[in-house]
Amino acid sequence: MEDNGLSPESKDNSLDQIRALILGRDDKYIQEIVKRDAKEVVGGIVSEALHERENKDGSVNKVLVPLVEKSLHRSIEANSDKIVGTLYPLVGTLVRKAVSSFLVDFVERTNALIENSLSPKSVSWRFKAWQSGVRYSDYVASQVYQYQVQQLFVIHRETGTLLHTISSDPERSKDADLISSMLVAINDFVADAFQSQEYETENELGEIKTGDFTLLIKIGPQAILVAAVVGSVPPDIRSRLQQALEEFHQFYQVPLQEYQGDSTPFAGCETLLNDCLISAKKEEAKGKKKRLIGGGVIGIVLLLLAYLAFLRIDLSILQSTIRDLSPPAGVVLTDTAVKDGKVQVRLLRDPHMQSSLSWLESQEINTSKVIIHEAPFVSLQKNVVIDKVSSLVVTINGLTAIYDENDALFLSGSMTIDALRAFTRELRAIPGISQLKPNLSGIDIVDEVRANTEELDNAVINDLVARISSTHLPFAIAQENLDSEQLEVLERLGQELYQLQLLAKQLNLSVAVFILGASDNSGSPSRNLALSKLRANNVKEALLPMKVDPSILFPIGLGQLSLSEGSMGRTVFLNVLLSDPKTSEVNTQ
Amino acid sequence: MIQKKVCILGPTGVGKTSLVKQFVESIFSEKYKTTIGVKIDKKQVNKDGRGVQLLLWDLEGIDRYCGFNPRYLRGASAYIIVVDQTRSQSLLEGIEILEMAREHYPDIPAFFVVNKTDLPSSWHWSEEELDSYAKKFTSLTKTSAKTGENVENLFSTIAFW
Repeated sequence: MEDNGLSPESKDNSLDQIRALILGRDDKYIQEIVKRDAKEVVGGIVSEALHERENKDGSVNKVLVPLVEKSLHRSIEANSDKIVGTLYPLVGTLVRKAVSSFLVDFVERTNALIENSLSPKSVSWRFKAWQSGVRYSDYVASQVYQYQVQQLFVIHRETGTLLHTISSDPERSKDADLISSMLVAINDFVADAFQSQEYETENELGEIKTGDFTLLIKIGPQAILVAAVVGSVPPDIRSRLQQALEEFHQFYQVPLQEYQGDSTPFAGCETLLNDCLISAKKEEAKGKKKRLIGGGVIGIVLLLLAYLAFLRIDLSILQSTIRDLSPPAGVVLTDTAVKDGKVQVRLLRDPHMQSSLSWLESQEINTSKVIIHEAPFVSLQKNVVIDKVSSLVVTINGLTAIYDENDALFLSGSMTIDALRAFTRELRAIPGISQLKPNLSGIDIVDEVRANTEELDNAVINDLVARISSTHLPFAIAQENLDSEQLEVLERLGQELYQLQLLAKQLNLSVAVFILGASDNSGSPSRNLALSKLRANNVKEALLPMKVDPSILFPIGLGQLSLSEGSMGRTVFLNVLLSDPKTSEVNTQ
Repeated sequence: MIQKKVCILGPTGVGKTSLVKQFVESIFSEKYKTTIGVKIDKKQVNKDGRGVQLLLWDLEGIDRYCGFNPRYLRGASAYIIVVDQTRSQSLLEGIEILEMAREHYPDIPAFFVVNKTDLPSSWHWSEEELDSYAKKFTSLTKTSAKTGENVENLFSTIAFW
């Protein structure tokens, strides 16, 4: 591209012409005087001039740094021994400082690595970077920095070749030359594609923006400065770039004019460009706020988890307490479990017994946390049977239930024959009633109609017959007399026989009670026969004072019984025969 | 290191891209060429301890109906015009391209490349005629992108011209 103004050559010519007009031939003399006094003139002001220029735009430093670096390098190469001698005392301190600095840096890097590699944030960033198809380091930069100038390119405008590049990440500099050429090609393409017909000026790219990434392009007469920026571009960066580009042209005017593809002379421009390699981190406050919110959420989740754990423990304790309870009669605990925030209790309950809920309440269990699953069953436990009998008995007026020490049931009172029949039916329907050996002989029939009731016959007579037939009186060896215990049994037996004969009489039945005496097989058989007869007779005699009709008593001596257990033979037992007036048959119990 | 910009021009289908592919390292995809008309690759060439980095601007195929963006030639150290010895027309088109390029940049060395020497020559130009055309160029090189014949030589010559 050509400049629109005067070319440098024409400017120089004009100045020469003006100079010739003003000075004429004196020009030579003036030049000689200036040359002669040049040292003095410059020497007198050089320090102040340098100081002033440095303060003005900092350009002295930028010029001197590469010169000093080069001079130092040459000096070290030429006089390395002297330099070593001078630096020797400082080396120890320098090494210590370097090692300490390295350690601090190492620790910081390790911390950063742990934070960036293992934190949930970094995992999330890695995922998002992968999702967006960008490098992880680029994504981190976009998140961490409000903006960051990642790379700067100085490109030769004419050829598109790279003069110099600096980058925040050295990896990026690898293909900078190709990128530079491509940028120039794109710029050429834009200039050609959007060429204005009206104006001679070329359209050139000033900025390329994709998402969060911006390429800022500053075009100078001979060089192009391109900055790759991530984040929102700060307003002052453009003026910085412009200034850097102007300075570049100023300092490298000659190398730029003489450029033949060799970028070595531009190596020192790094100090110029460094001012533009700037970045600003995002405000921490937002991060802190986010962290606070994150911390709050985690705290709430932890509290919730702790509360749920507490509830679970509470329920487990409740479950254990219920499992250890002794259930009442008629209830069987089959299983307990914690499910759906409640203790699930599975049990079997006899419907007659108290409700399982009231049982748990009586055990001070918080039933609001318990769900009961009941299945009905019939309990044969003695307590349950007694309870059922009691429930039945209380419904009938004048009926009393008495239990002896063996829980045998004796019922007394008076009722009509119909009521007795119904009661008997219900009583027999109670499962497990037989274990109470119910005795109905204490019930008086108050209604004459009962004589015609067969069921009553069965119920009462059979019961009495069964009880009498089950009586047996053990005797000591060679003993036929009755002791006090036997007399006590005989007293009850006498009452039962009296009731039997009364009932048989009312029902027109014949009764025969066989009193069977027996002995063991020790001694002679004749003696044993006599002994067995004596025993039977003694029992009969003992029963007579108890209003038992002697005509129904038949004492029989069985003699000796050859049983494996001898003592079993020394006994008296009874057998009852009842005649049936209708069939003329005899019932034996 | 010295960097040199070299443009590769020629009619469509003469093997410009294949010629470049023979020896370059590439980071951009071929899509660039159909989008903006050029794709850039680089290759370092060494000779006698000296290294030159060539930046090869591979321009899309040019025909009589569609010219090329002359800006792409700006600042080039050289350009190559590739023709196909199996197509007579390609030579004429190559000469037209040379004239267009010279019109804008008369001083840039132009290298004449006759490609596809692995195939039998099927154009009607005699060697004399070819030489007369070649005189318009800085030099003539016969190459085969397929076998790699003379490809390295061509770029080495341009690098140290």
